[in-house]
Amino acid sequence: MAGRGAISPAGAGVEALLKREPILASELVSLRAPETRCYPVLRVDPKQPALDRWAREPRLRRASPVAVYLVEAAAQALEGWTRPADARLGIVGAFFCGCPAYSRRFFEQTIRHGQSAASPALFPETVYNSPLSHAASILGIGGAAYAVVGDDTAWLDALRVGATWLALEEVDAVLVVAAEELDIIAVEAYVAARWLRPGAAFRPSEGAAAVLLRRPAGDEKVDRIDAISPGRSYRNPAGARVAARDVLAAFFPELPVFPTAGHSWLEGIARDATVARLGIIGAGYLGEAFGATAGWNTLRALSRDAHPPVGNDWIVPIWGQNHQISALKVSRA
Amino acid sequence: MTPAHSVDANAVVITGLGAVCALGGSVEEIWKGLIAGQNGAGPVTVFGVSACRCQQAAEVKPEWLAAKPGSAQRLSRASRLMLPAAREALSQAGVLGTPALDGIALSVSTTAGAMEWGEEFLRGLVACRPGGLLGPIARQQPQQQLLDLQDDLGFRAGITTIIGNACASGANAVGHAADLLLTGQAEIVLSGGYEALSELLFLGFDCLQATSVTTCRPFDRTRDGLMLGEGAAFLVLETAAHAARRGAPVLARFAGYGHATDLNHLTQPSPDGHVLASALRMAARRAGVDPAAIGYVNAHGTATPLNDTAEVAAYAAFFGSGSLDRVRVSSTKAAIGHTLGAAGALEAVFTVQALRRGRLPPQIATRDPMPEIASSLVTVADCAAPDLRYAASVNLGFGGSNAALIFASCL
Repeated sequence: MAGRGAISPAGAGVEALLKREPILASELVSLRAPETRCYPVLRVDPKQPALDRWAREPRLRRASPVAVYLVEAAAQALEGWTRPADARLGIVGAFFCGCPAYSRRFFEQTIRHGQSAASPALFPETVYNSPLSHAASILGIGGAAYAVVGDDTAWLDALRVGATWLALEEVDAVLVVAAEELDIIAVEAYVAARWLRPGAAFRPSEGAAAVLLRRPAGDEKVDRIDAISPGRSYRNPAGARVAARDVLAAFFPELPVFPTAGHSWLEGIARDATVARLGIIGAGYLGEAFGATAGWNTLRALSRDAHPPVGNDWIVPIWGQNHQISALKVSRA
Repeated sequence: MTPAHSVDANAVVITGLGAVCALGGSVEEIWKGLIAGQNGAGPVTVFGVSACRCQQAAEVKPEWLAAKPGSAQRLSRASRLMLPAAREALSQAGVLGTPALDGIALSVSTTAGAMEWGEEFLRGLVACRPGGLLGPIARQQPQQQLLDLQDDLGFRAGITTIIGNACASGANAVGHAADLLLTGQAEIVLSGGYEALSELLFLGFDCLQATSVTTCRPFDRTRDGLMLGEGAAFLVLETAAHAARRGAPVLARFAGYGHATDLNHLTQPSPDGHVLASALRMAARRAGVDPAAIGYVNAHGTATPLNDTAEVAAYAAFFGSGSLDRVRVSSTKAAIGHTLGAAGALEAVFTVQALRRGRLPPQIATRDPMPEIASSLVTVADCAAPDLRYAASVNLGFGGSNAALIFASCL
């Protein structure tokens, strides 16, 4: 792992992910006008300098926030890497909702004002890979680029794609980025699913996480992703319990677990599945941004300051919210 | 068909094909229609299009959709397209209902998942409809269609990858399946793509004026846009060694995959086609074949002015402008529509069929072909290709995705 980047409600950069103080929730107003219901969410500050620096970038002028988060996290991950002129760089993006803001705006206009109100300016930005396309253009990545879709475990699917390209020697390095933006249509869906309900600590969130992967040179000591388990899918809570058990059983029992379930509906299942293993102290709650949350947790697990020293190898379970459960094993240098 | 043991054990082979689209509910039915020059175009019936420029699409007939008792309410149209195609491919490969399904990897593509349910959810919110909104939204995302597939086939574990690279996604999914096999991460992969017509997508292409208001006619000098379609297609890819252990007949060999990203514009390809040419070169290099060995290209051929110009330029660059008339080319989108996330998979199936059958899908609807490619276009009267050894399938998509697949005959 040669580079890292993050943008989250805690701020820009990986260091911000390690803060322990709680983040104040902001609110989004329900689409069910004239109701005045509001939902608590954790948001990225769009005015912060790390994001503002992209305001004049032509490809991002009309792009949705998810594209800006993705580009910023990817750019951070590239900062420490001296890119040779002939280096072949790939990029993989992981998405849960894709571009909900533009998708909702595009279709809502046609519902309210008729099909002739469909906007050609909005439609191209609704496509899953449009944020990735903007990032590829801005960062000069003309080779391999995939948008991978799924729940939180799409982060692992994206890491696996990157590792595959490296193994085939089709690239010299790969950026893997998970990004998510908040829009009221997505939050309404979480309400319908009862993930977000009165009294629950779950908070929808947004942002991005990025890592730059490359092959290590000889016996170079670098932080590594040692293993990515295949996902195990589930349809209901009982299935999720079985999936969690099976995924964790593939790892040696003495390996500690980095806590990652947050306040999602899977929190109890995660607690039961990991109770026999040594746990590590996590960091503050950043809300649920799906693949981006999985990425943040991977970066936190690799941080030297996030937990007391109890070895260098950890399991980072990824609790996918509506498809599968998976895990990766990280090893600190 | 050739026994797997005649192929290099390290090779990737195709052992199963399945498809559903506007021309039929199985590979052989569709193939018959393609070779006969049939056109799947018709009026749009799955949603209203009264205020749209374009009024037509290539819809799948209801009888070709999956319809288990009670499933029509539970399954999205996307899943009902996907399930029969996946079952057909697995059945031909001889793994349906066998232990070989345990741990099978999935490499799948779509651009919109079950978008019609997302549309219903938003309509319900805007109308302040009380309750009842979880049903549609809970099964809208692409991973929910994969769950439907896993439920139907009865397995839970394995590598899954859902690629959303717009209209090149299907080719990317098939290419990625081969990459999983070549790196030893899997021995057998079910790979394909699916797309159901949805109002949001239709309005999107319509408002971009990318859809034809006359007839979709790829590589025609007077072309005026694409026709949207829907469908699903799957291929079973496995290592030759795995196929040999199972005694599975090999339909074709997967030869090479290339992909590249066009940085020109979000929706417009570089006019000189250099990015697609680069993807083709990568696929040929990985296949270890010279461009001259490739006898047929199933083109992306959307029939939009910009796409077809860039694509013809790419073929001239890859094959050599003086050699282009040696290659046979056709775009099957004139017959089945542009199926977006399913396109690359459907066209890969057609390319494998061309190698198996020694016949090429003709270019229908084109009356006044672009001079640069006129002599390459396949006609109904001249679609025999008994000596075809290598064939390519190429796709381009929004966001600059370009992908090329090369398959080889086992004959």
